[in-house]
Amino acid sequence: MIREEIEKEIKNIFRREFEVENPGLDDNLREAYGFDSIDAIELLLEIEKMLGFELTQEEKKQAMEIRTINQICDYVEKIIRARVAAGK
Amino acid sequence: MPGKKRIVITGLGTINAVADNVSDFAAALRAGVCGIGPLNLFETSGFRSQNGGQIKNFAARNYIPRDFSLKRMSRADMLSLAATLAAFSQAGLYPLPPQLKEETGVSIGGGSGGLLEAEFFYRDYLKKGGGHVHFSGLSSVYCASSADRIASTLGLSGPKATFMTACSAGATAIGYARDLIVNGQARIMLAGGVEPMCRITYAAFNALKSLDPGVCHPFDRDREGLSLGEAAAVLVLESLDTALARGARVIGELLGYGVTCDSFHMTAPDEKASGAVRSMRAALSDSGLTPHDVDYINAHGTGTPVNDVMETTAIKEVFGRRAYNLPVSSTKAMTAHTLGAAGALEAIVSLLALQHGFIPPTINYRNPDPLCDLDYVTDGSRPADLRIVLSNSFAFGGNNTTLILGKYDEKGNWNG
Repeated sequence: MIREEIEKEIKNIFRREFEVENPGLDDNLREAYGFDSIDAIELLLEIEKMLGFELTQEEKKQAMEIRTINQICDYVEKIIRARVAAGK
Repeated sequence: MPGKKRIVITGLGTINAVADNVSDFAAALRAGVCGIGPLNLFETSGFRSQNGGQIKNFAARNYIPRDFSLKRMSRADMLSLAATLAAFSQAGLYPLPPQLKEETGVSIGGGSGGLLEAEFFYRDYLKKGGGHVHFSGLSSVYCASSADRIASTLGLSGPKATFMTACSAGATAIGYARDLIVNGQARIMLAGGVEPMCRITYAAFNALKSLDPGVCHPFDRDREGLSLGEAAAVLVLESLDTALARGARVIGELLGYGVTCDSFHMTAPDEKASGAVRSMRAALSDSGLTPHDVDYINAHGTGTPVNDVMETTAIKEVFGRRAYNLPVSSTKAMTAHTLGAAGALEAIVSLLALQHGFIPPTINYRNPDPLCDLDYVTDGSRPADLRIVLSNSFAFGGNNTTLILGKYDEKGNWNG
């Protein structure tokens, strides 16, 4: 997946699952949209669906510091790169 | 009622199978509109009935502005928030002045809570396995969620309570709200009930053989049971002094209430009707009224063979010979039985009857039952200048609550 596709899909998830329309890429999701810890777990589930595989506990831990859409996209890109590098 | 703080109602909000606002609801009650029909919220084949009082095409955003998040709200939460906003608007309290937030509370009766969403969760869980299911679908499963969401959405931080006394919950929530205001623990209370339809509740009543296979027909000789329904009904309660001080329009007065229990059976009412009799008498006593003062009874009137005979017996016991000249109707043949919301929905029915001067009919009635021989208002709604209405809610578990509502009278001369 290229960056634009990831960003588009993440925005779709926010619209569909969290009623957030066109979030700013660097908006603090908690402050701007009340995005909370339960939302974060739901988002990871949606990311798993998007990627077509389950995230490991280690990969999920890496998501703890995410605050913005751009950071989510970085995170997804990193996961994909790591999986490709590992030949999975 | 000298010395007692008078409690009035200044706002009403409801969404039910008959109407999605109070004004249409009043018109439908007067016209005798039946909101019971085939359900499409879930599959009903294999059940004794396929009918119910479903709120069709409910779209929360038609009632709740985008300023408020609906995230993780159940159908019950959204229905009750929608009814709350309507009630607050009518009371002139929307948006609520910030200085009132700490003095405003919520008291809600409920039953099924977020069970409908829990059913979807469980279906997905069985299909996909635990790791692939949105568990947030369970975050509103508990019955208190609706009161929680109303309070948190509107920033209310006064008292908050949820009642789960089955079909009397909505009425009991209103009585409790009255007490909080009288005792000075709240200035304004949102009080009411909410009940969504769901498979589990429907299946339970089906198993009890309590569902009428067609459409319920209370007090009728051939009645076979109740029709289940869903609704949210919310009232704004405050003291008369508060209402007058802020220039609110008073819709009606809550004169008193009574609560008793049967200690008899899990589902059946006590045939001797002692719990129901004591509930009505407690409400009359609390209101400072006598049976002679009551102009109309909005009955519990579920349409089950046992309830309607028991309630008739109780009314005769409390009202004596006057029972035969006292109009009694069940509006459940229009709205269906909305369980945890029913007591609050029927409080709204009673207030609309007082406000608009009519007695809503018992529709779908066909044949007289020798054991139910009162005036059930079966020939359409009836114009009537009502002053005092008594509303019964008699629930499973022997939970009985009676509310007494009055037309707003500046002087408060209820028995003179």
